[in-house]
Amino acid sequence: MKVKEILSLSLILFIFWLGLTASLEPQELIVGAVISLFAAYFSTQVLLGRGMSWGEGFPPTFRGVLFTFYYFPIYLWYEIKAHLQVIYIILHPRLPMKPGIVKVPTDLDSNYRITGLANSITMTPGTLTVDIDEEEALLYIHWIEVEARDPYEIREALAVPFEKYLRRIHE
Amino acid sequence: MKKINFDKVFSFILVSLLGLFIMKVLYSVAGEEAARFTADHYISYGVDETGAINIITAILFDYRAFDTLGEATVIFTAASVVALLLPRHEASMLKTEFTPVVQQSIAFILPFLWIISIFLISYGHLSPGGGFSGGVIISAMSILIIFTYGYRYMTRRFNVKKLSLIEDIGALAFLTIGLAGIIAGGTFLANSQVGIYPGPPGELLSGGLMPLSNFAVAAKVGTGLSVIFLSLARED
Repeated sequence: MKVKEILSLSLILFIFWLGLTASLEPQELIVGAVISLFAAYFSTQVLLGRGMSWGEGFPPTFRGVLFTFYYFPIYLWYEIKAHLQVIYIILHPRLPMKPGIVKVPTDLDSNYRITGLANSITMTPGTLTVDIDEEEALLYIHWIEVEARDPYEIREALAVPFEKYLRRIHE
Repeated sequence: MKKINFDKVFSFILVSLLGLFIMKVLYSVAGEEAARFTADHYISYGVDETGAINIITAILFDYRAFDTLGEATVIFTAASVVALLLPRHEASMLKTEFTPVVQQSIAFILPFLWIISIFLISYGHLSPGGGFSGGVIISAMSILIIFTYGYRYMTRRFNVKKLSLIEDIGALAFLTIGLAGIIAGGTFLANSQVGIYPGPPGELLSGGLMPLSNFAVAAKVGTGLSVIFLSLARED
């Protein structure tokens, strides 16, 4: 299992190396392969630990890879929607915003998925994950326009769109 | 009327005189034929002589490698002195416990930082980068680990002794590479001047001993700065 994990991480790193060097010379490919193996081994076995893995359910299954391609356009759609909302607020002469920090419960179980959710929320403009409560699985989110007061509606607006996809990651 | 502040007038005159002096020196240096000669030589013949496309690395690790030894010694001395002066002194760092989101994200980034740093080091003679910048990224990684996972977590994996050992090995490797110049019949740290095969310019295995000295300097800089940070930061 460990060997498989290192090998698939080094494959990802090797693709990253190809992007950096932008060359297919045999000597550079060999050096890149050695370096990605070393970096994958060193960072997963020596540097990481304490419950932090490079990714849960790693190496990704075929479905996991497909998930990335599936999640990306959906995420992009939410990103564009959030951008338009924020642009509307900025261009409106009266700046109609109601900023506030809201508490959003989540039912994702692993650190890995919660990180995905928190980063998805942070990356969309207008919302920002400020803090999380590990024990109760709560996210504190700064929202530029607090539209709802009801906890259920808040969760429906912020977390659920991403949650329902992230739950399927590495099934 | 306000009283004239003589201190300010005096320092204004002093600074102006200093500026005039520096300007005069710079003008005379710019006109000098001898001062331009070396720069012209590096630009015109650098690639042919050393085999390194990146002229800065060619100067740092070939023509003026001895100066680089001095620069590396500065970091080495700083790290040694800091490690010597603060070994058992319990200065305290605020114990920060980040959320799993930060820890997981850093865990995600670390392997990629490794690739970037080694890319900078091993391509030092081909593209911008080199041992110093790659080493700085390595030390940034250890600082990231100390901040996100805590001081204890870092010292369980790498303590000051282990890091200093790697730093010493890097320094010794650089000096050993320097000896190759003497063995080949030239001066200390001579590389292309004594005919060490520079290799075809533009390929990864070129530039004579430059990639090796880049790796040695990177090991030294990366671990040296990590030692400085580890010695300064303590956790309660």
